[in-house]
Amino acid sequence: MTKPTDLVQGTLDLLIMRTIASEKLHGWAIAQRIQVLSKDVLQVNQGSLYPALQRLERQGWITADWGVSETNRRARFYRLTAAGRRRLEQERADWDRLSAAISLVMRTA
Amino acid sequence: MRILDQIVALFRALFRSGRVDADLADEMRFHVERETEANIARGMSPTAARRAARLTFGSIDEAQELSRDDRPGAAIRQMVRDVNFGARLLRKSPVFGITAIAIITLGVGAATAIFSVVYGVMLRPLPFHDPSRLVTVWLTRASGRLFPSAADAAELRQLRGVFTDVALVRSSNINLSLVGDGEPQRLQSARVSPNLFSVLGVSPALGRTFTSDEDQRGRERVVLLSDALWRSRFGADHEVIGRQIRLDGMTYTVIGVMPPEFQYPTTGLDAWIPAVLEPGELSRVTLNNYRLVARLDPRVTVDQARREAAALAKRLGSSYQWNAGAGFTVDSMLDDAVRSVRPALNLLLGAVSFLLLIACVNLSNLFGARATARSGEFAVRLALGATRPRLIAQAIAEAAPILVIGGAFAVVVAWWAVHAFVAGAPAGLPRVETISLSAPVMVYSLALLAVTGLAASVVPAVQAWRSDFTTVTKDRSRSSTSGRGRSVARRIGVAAQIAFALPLLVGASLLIQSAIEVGRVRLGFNSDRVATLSFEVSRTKHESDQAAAEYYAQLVTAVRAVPGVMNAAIVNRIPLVGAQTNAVRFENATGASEREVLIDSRTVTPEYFATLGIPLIAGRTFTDHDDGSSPEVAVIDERLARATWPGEPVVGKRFRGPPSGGWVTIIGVVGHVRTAGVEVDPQPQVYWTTRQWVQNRATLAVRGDLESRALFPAVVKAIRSVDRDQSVFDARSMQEIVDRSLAQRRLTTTLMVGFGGIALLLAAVGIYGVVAYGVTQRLREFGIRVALGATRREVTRLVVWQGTSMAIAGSAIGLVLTIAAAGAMRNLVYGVAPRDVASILGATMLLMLVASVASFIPARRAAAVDPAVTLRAE
Repeated sequence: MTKPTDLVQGTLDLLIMRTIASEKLHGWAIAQRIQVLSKDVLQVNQGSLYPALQRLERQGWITADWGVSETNRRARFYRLTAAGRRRLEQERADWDRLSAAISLVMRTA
Repeated sequence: MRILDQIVALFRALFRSGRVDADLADEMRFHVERETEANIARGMSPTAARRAARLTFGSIDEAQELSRDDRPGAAIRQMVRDVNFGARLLRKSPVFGITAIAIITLGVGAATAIFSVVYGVMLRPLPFHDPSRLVTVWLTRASGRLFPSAADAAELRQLRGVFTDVALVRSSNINLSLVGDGEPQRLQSARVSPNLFSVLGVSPALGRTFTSDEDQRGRERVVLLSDALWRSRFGADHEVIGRQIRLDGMTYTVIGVMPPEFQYPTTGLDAWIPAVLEPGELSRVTLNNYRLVARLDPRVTVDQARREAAALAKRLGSSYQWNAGAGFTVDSMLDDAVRSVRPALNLLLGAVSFLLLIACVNLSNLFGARATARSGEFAVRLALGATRPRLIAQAIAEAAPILVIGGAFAVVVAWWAVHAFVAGAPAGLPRVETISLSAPVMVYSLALLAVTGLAASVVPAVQAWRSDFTTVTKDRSRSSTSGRGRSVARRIGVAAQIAFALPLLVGASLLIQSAIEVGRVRLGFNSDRVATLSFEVSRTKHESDQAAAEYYAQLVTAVRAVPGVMNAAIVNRIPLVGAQTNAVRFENATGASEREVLIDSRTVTPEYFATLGIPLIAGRTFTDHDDGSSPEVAVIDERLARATWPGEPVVGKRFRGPPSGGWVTIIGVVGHVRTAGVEVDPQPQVYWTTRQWVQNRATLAVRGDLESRALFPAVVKAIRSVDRDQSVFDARSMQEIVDRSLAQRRLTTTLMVGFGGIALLLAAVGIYGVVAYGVTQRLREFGIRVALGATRREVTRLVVWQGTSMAIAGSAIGLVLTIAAAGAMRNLVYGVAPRDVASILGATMLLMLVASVASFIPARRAAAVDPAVTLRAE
């Protein structure tokens, strides 16, 4: 098994936005969800998770409020804003195009 | 809304950073706890679970730090921290801080004060509509500038497409007495053409200005009041419009009040009345003097107007005798207004700029030395991962507290200086009322502060950029001559200070010598125990010339009878206060009249020469028998006599001239008097007696016991005993008049000497600082030298030479600067050359002496090294 890949900046933003697209989650759950969904291939370094969350929040793509976690603790829950949703759609389209192009090159070359 | 969000985020990040940090810490703590729980759920022991969670998360501090750097306003927070650090440095080494603040205060404060004067007087636009289009027109002859006539104005107005209009102002202040209840009040007023207000583009605060027909006889009894008079005499009553007031025995209707900023042609005017042209003025039979102000046609430049006016002058010169050989000068109104003070202000601005440069270099050296002392700290921080731009930003931010405090003090100093200056401004300085720390001055001051800030932080910044761990640590272990490049920069700095100081010292020396020379000038009259009092005779009361002359004679008799009065006389204008110029033609050998000579004319009562102590050289002075029924006579001054009839007896010679234009016989020759100013060699002088040529303007000169406080009231009482409505003004001693005429020179000299002194002080401190620092750096070297057999005298000489060599290099450049800048002094020196060798040598010697003394003090310390101590020290 290979080591978990370091996430390129920008890709992390995309993943975070995708993860919270359907429901609001706190930071730990976001990291957890990314790791689980990627079958442990992608591991989010917490040192980059929180700066990324702050950055996204500042750009107005996600928003956060304090709530109660599944373990009955005070936690900060993040969710997408309308602007964030538009941004996600656009990023997802870009990503699809890019990855399709890369795999095309990889397969044929 | 995005921008708003960002502003809110920035605000939160800057001012609620504690709250943001706490939130983040909470969130991260929750993350670790949740991870721990997950680990426990996977079957770990609680301790192991916590440990594992911590490990995966990494350092909470680092994560916080990262997210903090990423937050908005990070740069601002960084700067605040650097500035705080700068403030701590300031508290730690107060002597350094106080020195730096003092330098900034002196440099920026002096420059701001002088600039506020320069801006207020020379640069600030005149308070008229589109003032750059306003010009003044003068008549010029070889002997100087003269006021043009109404006929000249009419001709100028006729020039096609040059001026939109030309306005006339009667140049002499016409003094009207506001007679009514109580003390008669003398009003300073001007007679102006009705179009003056449209030419200047000003409107009255109340009422209206003159209509174009109000310069016609019969319609001219209308008056515009100044804001000050309206407030003081009429209680700011809005009903004043239409009111009848009595001026000089005649009834005038108040038609308007001018706004307070309207002060034309001179400040402090009380009223404006229409100038009625006398019959014959336009046909040049009668000549009156007018100040002309014109508005240029929008399509015309000043140069074009000059050419057109010059062509007109030529045409007029061929048609009219008075205009023969005369030209017109057309100058922008502002240039014309500040003509007399421009050289002095330019000099002071230049001097203060040099002073500021010296201050900047000094500051740069000071901060440079501190940066050198901290080079180790910089190198270590660089090695620990600080970036170079970060260190430079810090170098600039650290200087900030000193700059802010220095800048604040500089503004206080400038404010104080400007107030002191305005309060004690020399008489005749134009536009004093506009001098203040106005917005443009503050912008200038801030720019200066930015320049000094740059000077203070550039050396530390360069040093930070070049900083390199290995060289710095090497430098330290090898304690010989360290940082050669840096010490060269500092020595160049010192040489530059000397170079800038030299012209200031030379300038100060030239002005001191000029002041001494001016003090030696023989005025030609004796100001001792003479006092003057001015008044204006009412020609409605004393209508005929004979009656007016008789009135003057009565006044003189009454005043001479006052106890304590030794002598008294009346003259139309007292020397040094004003002059009147007329043209005369002297009779030549063949009896024909020669070409016109412009002379300074004065009309006096017979006692004038005795009262002012002007010696009679030949012939006689006037008597009461020289009157309207006897032949016209005059007295001339000796210089004119010698120039016109060298070696011949002058009494009995004749000339054609005023008052009637016929032959006037010379009856006496008196001493030459400096009439136009102490420093100005005046025109030739001719005197007439009031009984043959009476003028409304009069000054009473009294010689007597001025110490007595009762003298003036008694004199005024004597005047009122002749005419109880006679108002008097401008009571001054003759000495005061002499002092006033020298006030501008005195102020310029004082300021220059002050600037020179500060420059010398700064240069001395600069040399001392650099030499002393060099000695500290080289103590070990001196120890070795002494150990190897150098004598103390040799070490002293070595160090002193280090200081004086800088002074010599600086003086060489300073000499070039001095010679190049000497032109600025040309109009300001008196009796001494602008490139006076003695002054230049003296100032250079003084700088050398100061440099030697400033380097001798550290040299003694160097000579006192004990090799046994210094060599073992490290």
